[in-house]
Amino acid sequence: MGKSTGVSGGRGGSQHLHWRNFFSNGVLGGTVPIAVGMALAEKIQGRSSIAINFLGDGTMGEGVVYESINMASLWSVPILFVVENNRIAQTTPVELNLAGDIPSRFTAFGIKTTVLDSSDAIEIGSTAQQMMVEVRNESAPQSLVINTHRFGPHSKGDDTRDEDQIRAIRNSRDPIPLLAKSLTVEKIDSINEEVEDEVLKAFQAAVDDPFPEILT
Amino acid sequence: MTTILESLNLTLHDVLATDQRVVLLGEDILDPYGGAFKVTHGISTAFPDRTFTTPVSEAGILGVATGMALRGLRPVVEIMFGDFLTLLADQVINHATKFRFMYNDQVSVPLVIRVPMGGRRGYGPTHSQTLEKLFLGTPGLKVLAINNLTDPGQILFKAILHDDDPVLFVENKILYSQSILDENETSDFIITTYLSQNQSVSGLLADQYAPTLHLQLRDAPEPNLTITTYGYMAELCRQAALQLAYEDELFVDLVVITQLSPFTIDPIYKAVRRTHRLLVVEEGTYTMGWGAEILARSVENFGEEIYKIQRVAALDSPIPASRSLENAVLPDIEDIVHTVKMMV
Ligand SMILES: Cc1ncc(C[n+]2csc(CCOP(=O)(O)OP(=O)(O)O)c2C)c(N)n1
Ligand SMILES: [Mg+2]
Repeated sequence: MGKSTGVSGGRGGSQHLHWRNFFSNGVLGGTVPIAVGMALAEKIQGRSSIAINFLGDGTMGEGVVYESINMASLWSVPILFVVENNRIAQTTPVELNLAGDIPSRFTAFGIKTTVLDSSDAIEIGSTAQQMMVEVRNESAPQSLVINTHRFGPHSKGDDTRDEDQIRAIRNSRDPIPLLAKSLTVEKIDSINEEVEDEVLKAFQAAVDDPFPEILT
Repeated sequence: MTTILESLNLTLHDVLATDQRVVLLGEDILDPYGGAFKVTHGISTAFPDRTFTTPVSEAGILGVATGMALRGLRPVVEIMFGDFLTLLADQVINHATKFRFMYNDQVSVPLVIRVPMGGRRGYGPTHSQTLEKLFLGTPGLKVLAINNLTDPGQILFKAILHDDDPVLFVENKILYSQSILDENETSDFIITTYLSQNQSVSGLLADQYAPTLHLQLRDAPEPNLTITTYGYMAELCRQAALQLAYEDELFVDLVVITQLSPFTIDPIYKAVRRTHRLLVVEEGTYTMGWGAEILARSVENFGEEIYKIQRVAALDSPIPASRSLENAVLPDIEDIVHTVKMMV
C-alpha cells in the first residue's frame, strides 16, 4: 500500500520484502546466487545457519539458477532449494516452458533431491524440517521439488485457464480445507474469526498510516 | 618505483591481512596463475581460506558476493575482462545496488567489483571495450576509475574497507604496467586536489577517497582550455598538454576525475570559468557516453560562460583486433592535440 509503516517504508513494494532474515525481489532467478552467498558466508564464518531459497517452475529458465546450484554443490553450501512446481508460469504451462524434468536439474549437479506431490502443509513441513536438519548437519545443499497447483491468477484477473479446471484443482488440492479436515467446526470458526480480525486490524492500521515523507 | 599492478596487488594482500571479513572471488585467481592480469598473484597462497576461484559464472559470482555482503563479509570480485560486465548487469542493477534502498536502509552491501578495462592490446571487439558508461548513473552504484596520478592501491583499500556500498572499480589494462607518477615526473604541473565547492588543497591528498585533481602548467601563461578526463586517457592528455605547451605554445589545464558516478560538476566549473573552453576526453565510444553527460551538465550549469565545447572519444565502432585498425578507432594524443588546436 506504499505506507511509511510498510516493511520497506514504501520504497519496496510487495515484491521487495525484507523482515528479519526474509528477503525477496521481483527479478526471477536473481535471488538464487544471493541465497547461496548468504549460506556460504554463514559457513565460512563458522556459524551453523542455513539458507532456504524458493523458486518456481518458470524460474528454471533463468541461466543464473544453474550457475548458482553449481557453486552451491561445488562449495558444499548449506542451502535448501525449494521449487514450487505449480505447472504454470504467469500464463505459460510448464509443457511450453521446460524440457526434461526439474529434479534431474539438481541431481545433475550432485544435489540430493526429494520430490513431493502434495499441498498438505503438515506433510511438506515435516519433510522440509528433516531436510533442513540434514542440510545443517552435512553442510551441503539439498533440493525439495513440490509438485502442486496454482489456485488463483498470477496477479489479478489474469488467469487464462479454464474456470472448471481451476475449480477442480481448488476442490482437490486447496491446502486450507485439507488442514481443516482434522479440526472441529468450533475450532475452525474461532481460527477464521481470529484471522479475519487480525487482517482487518492490520488493513485498517495501514489505511490510517501516513504515506512516507518525500525526501529530495 | 611501484607499478600500478604492484600497488593493487599489495593492497589486496594488505586488506586481507587487515580484515578477516574480506574475501576474494574471481575466475582463475589461484596461484601460480594469480588472475588473468596477475593482480591477485600470491593471494591464494597467503589466504587460501578466503580466496575463491570460481566457475565461469559472472552473474552467479556477483550474486554470491552480494549474499556474502549481506551476511557480514566484505567481498571483492574480480571480473576477468570489463567486457563481461554485461553478464552481471542484472545482479548489479536489480540486486546489489537496490537492496539498501528497497529494504529501507535496513541492509548494506559492501562489495567491490574490480574490472580490467580498455583496449590498445590487440584483443579485438569483445576484450577491449570501455564499458563503464553502461553503469554510470545507476543509483546506488559508485563507479571509480584509477589513473597514474593517484596511488590506486589507496583508493582500492578504502573502497574495500571503508565503503559500505557497491563499488565498480575500473582498472585500465594499460595502466597495470605503468608506474605511479612521482613528483619529478609531474613537476611540469601544479597539482591541486579538489575537495568541495570553493575548496582545494595543493598537492595530492592521499587520504581523500577518490580525488579529483586539477593540473595546471607550472610557470605558464593563463590556460585557455580545460581538458577533463579519467583513467589511462589522463596520461595521454597529460602528454598532449606538454606537447601543446612546448611545440605550439598552447596552454591547457586538466581536470582528472576518479569518481565517475555519482559526480559533481563543480571542479570542472572551477577550471572552465577561467578558460571558457572545455574538451572532454574518454576511451569509451563517442555516442551517449560519459562525455555527453559532462557536457550536458556543464551547459546546464554554466553554459553562458563556455565559448567552446568538444569531445574526443572512440569511434562508434566495435574495436578491431588489428593494431593499426584499433589505433584508428581509439583516441590518441594526436586526436587530443588536433582537437585542442581547432578549439583555441
Ligand atoms: C527476470 C524476470 N522475467 C520475467 C518476469 C515476469 N514474471 C513474473 S512471475 C513470472 C512467472 C513465474 O513463474 P514461476 O517461476 O513458475 O513462479 P510461480 O509464479 O508459478 O510461483 C514471470 C514471467 C520477472 N518478474 N522476472
Ligand atoms: Mg509456476
